Parts: sequence; structure tokens; C-alpha cells
Amino acid sequence: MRRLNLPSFGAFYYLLVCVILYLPIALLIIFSFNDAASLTFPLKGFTLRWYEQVTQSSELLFALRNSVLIALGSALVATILGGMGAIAIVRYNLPGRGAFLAVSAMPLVIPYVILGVSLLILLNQVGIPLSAPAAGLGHVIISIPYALLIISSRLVGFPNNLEEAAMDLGASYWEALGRVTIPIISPALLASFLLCFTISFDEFSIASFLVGTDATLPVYMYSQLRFPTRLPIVIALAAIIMTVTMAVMIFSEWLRRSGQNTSRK
Amino acid sequence: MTDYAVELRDVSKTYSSKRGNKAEEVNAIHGMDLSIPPGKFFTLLGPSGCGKTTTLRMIAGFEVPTSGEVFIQGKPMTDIPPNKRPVNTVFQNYALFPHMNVLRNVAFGPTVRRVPKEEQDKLAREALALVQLSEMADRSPSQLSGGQQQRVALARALVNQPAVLLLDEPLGALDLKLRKAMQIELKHIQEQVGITFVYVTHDQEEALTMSDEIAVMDKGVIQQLGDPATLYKHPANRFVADFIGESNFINMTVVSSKEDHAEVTVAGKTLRVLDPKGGEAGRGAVVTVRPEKVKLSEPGKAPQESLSATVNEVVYIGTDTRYMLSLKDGQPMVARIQNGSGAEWREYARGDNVKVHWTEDDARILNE
Amino acid sequence: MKHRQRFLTLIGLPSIYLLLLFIVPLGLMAVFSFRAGTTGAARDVFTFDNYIKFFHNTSFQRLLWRSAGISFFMAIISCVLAYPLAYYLAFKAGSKKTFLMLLIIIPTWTSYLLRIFSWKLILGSSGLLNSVLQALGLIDQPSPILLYSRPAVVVTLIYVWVPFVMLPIFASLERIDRYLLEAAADLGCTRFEAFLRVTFPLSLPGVVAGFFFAFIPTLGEFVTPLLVGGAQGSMYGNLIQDQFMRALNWPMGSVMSLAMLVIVLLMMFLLTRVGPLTDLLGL
Repeated sequence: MRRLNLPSFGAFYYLLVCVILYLPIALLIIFSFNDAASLTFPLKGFTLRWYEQVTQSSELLFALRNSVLIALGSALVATILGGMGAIAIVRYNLPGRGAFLAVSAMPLVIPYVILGVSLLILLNQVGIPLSAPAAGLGHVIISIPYALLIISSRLVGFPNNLEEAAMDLGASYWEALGRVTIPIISPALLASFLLCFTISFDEFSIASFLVGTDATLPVYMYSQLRFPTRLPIVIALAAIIMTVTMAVMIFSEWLRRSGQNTSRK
Repeated sequence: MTDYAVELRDVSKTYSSKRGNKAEEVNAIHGMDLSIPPGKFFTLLGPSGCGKTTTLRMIAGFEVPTSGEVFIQGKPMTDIPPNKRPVNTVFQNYALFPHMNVLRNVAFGPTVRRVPKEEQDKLAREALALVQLSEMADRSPSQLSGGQQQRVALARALVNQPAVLLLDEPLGALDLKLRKAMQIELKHIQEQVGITFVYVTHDQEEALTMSDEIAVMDKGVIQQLGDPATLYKHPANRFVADFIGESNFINMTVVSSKEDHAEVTVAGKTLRVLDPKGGEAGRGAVVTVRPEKVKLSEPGKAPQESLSATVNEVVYIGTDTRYMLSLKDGQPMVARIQNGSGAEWREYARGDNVKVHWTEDDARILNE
Repeated sequence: MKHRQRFLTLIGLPSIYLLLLFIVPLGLMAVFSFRAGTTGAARDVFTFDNYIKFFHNTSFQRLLWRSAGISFFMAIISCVLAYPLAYYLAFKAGSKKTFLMLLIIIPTWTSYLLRIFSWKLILGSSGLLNSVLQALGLIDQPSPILLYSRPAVVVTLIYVWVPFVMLPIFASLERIDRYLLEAAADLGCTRFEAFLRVTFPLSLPGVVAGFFFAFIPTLGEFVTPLLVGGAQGSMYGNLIQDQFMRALNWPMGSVMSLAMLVIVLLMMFLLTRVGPLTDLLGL
């Protein structure tokens, strides 16, 4: 009876999936160097002019600036809120823990259209104008579950009575958190910040409802998709962003994983 | 009052636990009164769940008594949080701070008190010298062995010179030889610094080795309080007799009781045993005698006051041989005979009929 | 007691944020569903009008069902495609497992919008696929149906979701005690039988979790249909977006959103039946 040579089938399948996954990314990068005004095959020639034009487009740079600022803001807020929530969830098993966990995890699965639309209604009723920072408010909501996950994963790897030991030696509870807990989870705090930054930076659905006349980068890019002549510049920008994002996330993952190795129960 | 290092007055601790849908009240500690004299090595000894750790944590301040009060050096601790009590704890899992090196771990107490940096270092190094770990000051805790981590935890707790040092089964994670060495070392350190140690363990041998005084606990109640020798030789009740060392428990009937001795009958024979409490005749009593005090003889070569028994099992343990016996009325007994040589000593085999006897005062009636 | 105070202080801030910016907006949306008029105007009106219109308009409901169908189909296919991947990583990849998994995950960290957009480059009339098919002589002319159609939406969604769905499946496969498989072999199972009787059933919670994680959010998907769906591939999310951004009929849009929210909550409830939240999230 012939044995199905599974190892090579699995590896082949994996390779195929990888190729398909990276294909669009590769295509974008290829077209960013394509010396043609439209995105069609066949390819025409090599050029860097699209990259040059990226730096010259003030609209684009402005949208980029917006995205960076609100990503920084929402990542900061999400990491702080997620950090507090993580400490509460890992260290305490009191009534309310389950409900909090459930509610903070819901944004993971709720369709973004609902989140965007409901926030639109809220901002309108409360009288807050639509703007890029408004989008940032929504980004915090979708980022909190990830922050919670990353930070609590790290916290769980440490003995659970370190705060108690610090208090025994004379520290108040908040001092114990500051001198012991936060230093210990700091790699996770950074990793969470980087991930939440990426989430906000790339986010389009919610932003499309909340930015009003402002633009975040994804919103700007979408608006340019209608103009074929503008596309190569958008693609060039996309290539830059993709590369930077990948680098940042790889660094963040490395942080997260090297942290796991040094923690001991 | 102010003579005691730690006092618990009528302290109770109740937990409500959720079993399914019902909230149950669990009594961890019942109305405990405890006075711990200063400068002693005091141990709370008992099986898991007896409340010893809860008691320790109430002294530390991590648990709050449901009723009653805790006093440390005569001052009530009712509203005082752990970080303000003159008490430090050595935890079972050491709880060393992984992001600090050994020196900074030990210096944590002084750091929090904002002692000047040079002073911090000096105090920390002194504490490390006390536990003989001076050369490890710059290492990180993960680089140390279990025994070394334990000593760092000890140094860290001692550096604040607390009135009372609490130790929550700190030797549990160490292997046997290391544990025995650390027991001696801990005792020496306690004698050296003179601080009151309150030690929690379930290991009765450990307690007997190290303690000046032991409180034996079961189900949230102190069963007996005393020094090791007293607890061993004169257990107050069945629990203590069974928990500390090994005991035989034999049901006998009291014939008469005079002063502190009683005449009892068992399996057709009459014996005299210690009867500390005294009491009426005719009652049933449990007599306890330690296996190592039980002597065996061949029938015919035994003293008058001895019982007939059959050998069920023989277990050779190097230094001793354990004999599991049955008396004529079926009651089991264990005898622990030191292996030796010489005219008087002999081995017995399964099925042998032997005579069981002991020195009169080695058997006593248990008060229940 | 002290513990309770500290716990509440810690979850207080995140809870307030979630309450104000997540729960309250949903409540407002519910309130809006009973109003009439455009955008945020028309207060103090309470009417069931929009509900009646919604339930009478069969095309709305058909779109909802069609979208649910697309999401469902997409999620199932994603699970099927992701499973061999997860299996390979969990059982065959050995020490390179972490690296290989990262390789699959990295594309998900790049811009979602752009990756969908780039499928236009692949599926478009002058895109890669058409060029290849023409070069291979399989078709004479560029085929327009590859783009701006429902299949385009499904394919693109699958592309996006397979890496995400792989994660919970991988996690549940990883958790399987290898000794169970040895025991199965010891008791006479072939490798395939062991898979069928031991591995697959034990991995099911991860598969179901992955399915829901892909299915539920996709119910409201509108970006992918916007980019590659054309008229045919429009989904329910586009309808809602339209109500809010173009038609400016916020009350109606709210009713539509609520209808979807009900289904979402139902699905989330089913998801919790799979296993405790803490297990699924790896806590």
C-alpha cells in the first residue's frame, strides 16, 4: 500500500498559499516601479518617478500626517486602557471580570460598519465635529482587544504574587504596580503599542464614516482610486507603507517573543 | 500584653465560596487565640487546608479577619495595610522580582522607603552576607538555583529588620538534602538576628527540627500548643498524636483509675497505662503508644504485662524493621524495632506469634 | 474590600471608554431606528415607520440573506483552505514552525485596503490573470467576469481571511496531546484513521471558532464589495453605508444595522457555546 507522502504535500500547499498571499503585495511593489501611467500589463520600464511624486503631493503628505498622529494617539490610549484591563483580568477573579472581558472582546467580531455608523450617530448627537481624531476614537475600540490579549499574555507568565511581595516590603499598591508590574510588562506594552498603531494606521472602514472633510491615509488613497492617473503615486506610497509596516510589526513580534523567553513562573 | 510579638484575639475568618448556585460560608478559622512570644522560632503546623497559611496572611495583612483582632508588638493592626506593618514575608515561590538583579531585589524595602542610595546598598549587602550570597549580588534571579533564590528571598525580607518574619513553607520546592541543610541554616539565622520567626509548614519533622514552639492546627482550630518534646511525648488528642510522628491507637476499657495511672483491659489482658486526666471506670478509652516504644518478645520470654499478637507484615527499612501486627482481638498495631545484633535481638517472620509490651509510662490514654 | 476597590479602579477607565464609545452609540442607534427624517435631525419623533418599510422591502432582506450567504460560504471555504496549512504548521513544520507561521501572518499586517485593491490588478481585464490565461491560449479575449462580480468578492474575502482563520485552528491542533496519537496507533489505527478519529474531532473547536471569527464581521463587509464587487457583488454593508452617507436616511440605516446586529449577537452567542472566552483568546 502506497503511503501518501504527506510531508511534501503539506509543504507544497504551504508554499502555494505563501505565493498567493504575497502575490498582490509583490504586484503592487512591481507596479510602483513601472514606467506607465496606468496599471495594466504588460510592464513598461523601470522608474522612480512615482516615488518622487509621493514627496511632492501635499494632500497626500497631509493625510499621512493625520494618520500618523491619530495612530499614535489611539495606540497610546488603547495600550493604556488595555494594560489596566489586563492587570485587572489576570490578577483578580471578581464579579464583573467576565462581563468586562466579553464586552471588550466584542469589537473583535462586530462588523466595522456598525461601529462606524453608531459612532457617527453619537458624534452627531453630542455635537462633536467629524474629523480625523474622531476616527481615532473608533480605532481605540477596535484596538483594545488586541492590547488586552498581548499584555495579559505576558502578565500570565509571571508569578501572581509579585505585587503582594512588593507591598509586603513597604510599597503601596500603586507603587507596586509602578515599580514591579509595569517594568515587567513593558515589552508587551511596546508590542501592543506597535500593533495598535498599525491597526489604526491601516484602518479604512470606520475612518470612512468619521473623518468628515479630513483625510487619513487610507481614506485619501481610496479617494484617489477613481483617478487612474493618480494611481501610480498611490501605489508607490502603498509600497513604502507596506514595507515600513512589515518591518515595524516584525520588530514588535520579536519584542513579544523575546519577552516570553525570559519570563519564568 | 506588649510582651508578645504577635497576638491573635478571638480571630475568625470566614469565606463565602460559590458552589454551583449556592453561596456557601466556609469557616477557615474559628475564634482563634494565639500569643507568640518575641525572639522565638514559632511554627504553625498542620495539614493542607487547616488554616495555617490563612493565619499567616492575616498577620501579614493580606487577609482581613472576619472578626477578632490581630496585634503586633501590642499594637492593633485592624486598619493597617500590609505595607505599613512591621512584618515581612518569605513566600513559598520566593516572588523575586525578575527585572531586578539580586542586590536591587534585596534593597527593595529600603528603596521604597527612599533611603539614600549608598545606605540602600550597604543594608542590602549586609543582608546578603547574612545568607552567604554576597558574590551573587549582580546576578539576575533566573540565574540562581532554587536554594539560592530562597536565600535571596530571606535576605530581602530581613533587610527591613521587621519585628516579625513570616515564612510560608519556603523550603517546599527544595530537594531533601538541601531542605535539611536549609532548616539548620534558618534556625541559626533566626538565633543570630533574634527576630521572631513565624513559620508555616505541613512537614512535622521540619517543625520539630526548627521550632522553639509549635501550634498544631486542624480545621481552623489550634489542637495543641507546645514545644517539640512536649508535643511528641504528650500529644493532647488523637489528631496531634497521629500527625506528629507515628502512633498506635488501641481501644481499651478502663477498670479503675488512680492519680495519673489507670488499669485497663484489652484482648483479655490487664495493663497499667498513663491516664493524665483521670476518670471513671468502665469507660472505653483510646490508648496511644509510639511504634518505636513497642517491644517484641518470643512467647515465654516476655514480661507479665504483655499482649499476644500475630505478625502480618515485615518491612525492612535499613535502620529499622517495621512489624505490622494484629492483637488477639483483631486490632492492628505497628512496632518499629531498630535492627541490631546481639543475644537479645531477633527477627520475626510473617505468621509468627509474638508478645507485645512496652515500658508502662510509654502508653497513655488520649483525651478527646 | 481592598481587592474590589483596586479591581474596579483598574477596569474602571477602560469600562467607561467602552461604555461611552461602544455601548452608548449602539443604544443611540437603537433610538434612532424609531425616528424619521434625515441625519441627526427630527428629534422627539417616535415611529415604527422604518421598521415597517424594512420588513416590507423584500429586496433589503434578500440582500441581507445574500450577504449572509456570501459570508457563510466564504468562511467555510476559508476554514477548509486554512486547515491543511494549520495542520502542516502544527505537525510537520518542526522547529521552523514559528517562522513559517509568521510568514503567513505578515501580509495581514499590511494595508487591507491596498491588498484588496491589488486584486484588481490580478482580476481586472488587463490584469495578471487575464494576461496569463490569454498567454496560455485558454481564452481569446480578456474575461470581464473575473472582476466586479460576486465571485470576485468571495475570492478576495477568502484571500483576506485564510491567514486569520488559520490561527485558532493552529492553536487547537497544537494543544492536542501527541500521546493521544501514539495511543491510537498503538490500538491499531492507520494514520488517516487516527486523524479522523482523534485529531480532527479535537481540532473542531478551533475550526468552529475560526469560522465564526471570519463569518461574523464579514456580515457587514462593504469595502471589498466597493472595490471589486461592482453592482452584482454589492453586500448588505453597502446598503447601510449608502443610507448613512448618500441617502442620509439615518433612521432607516439604523433599522438595517439593528437587523444585522441581532444576527451578529446571535452568532456571538453561538460562538460562546464553543468554549469559554478565555480559552479561545488564549488567556
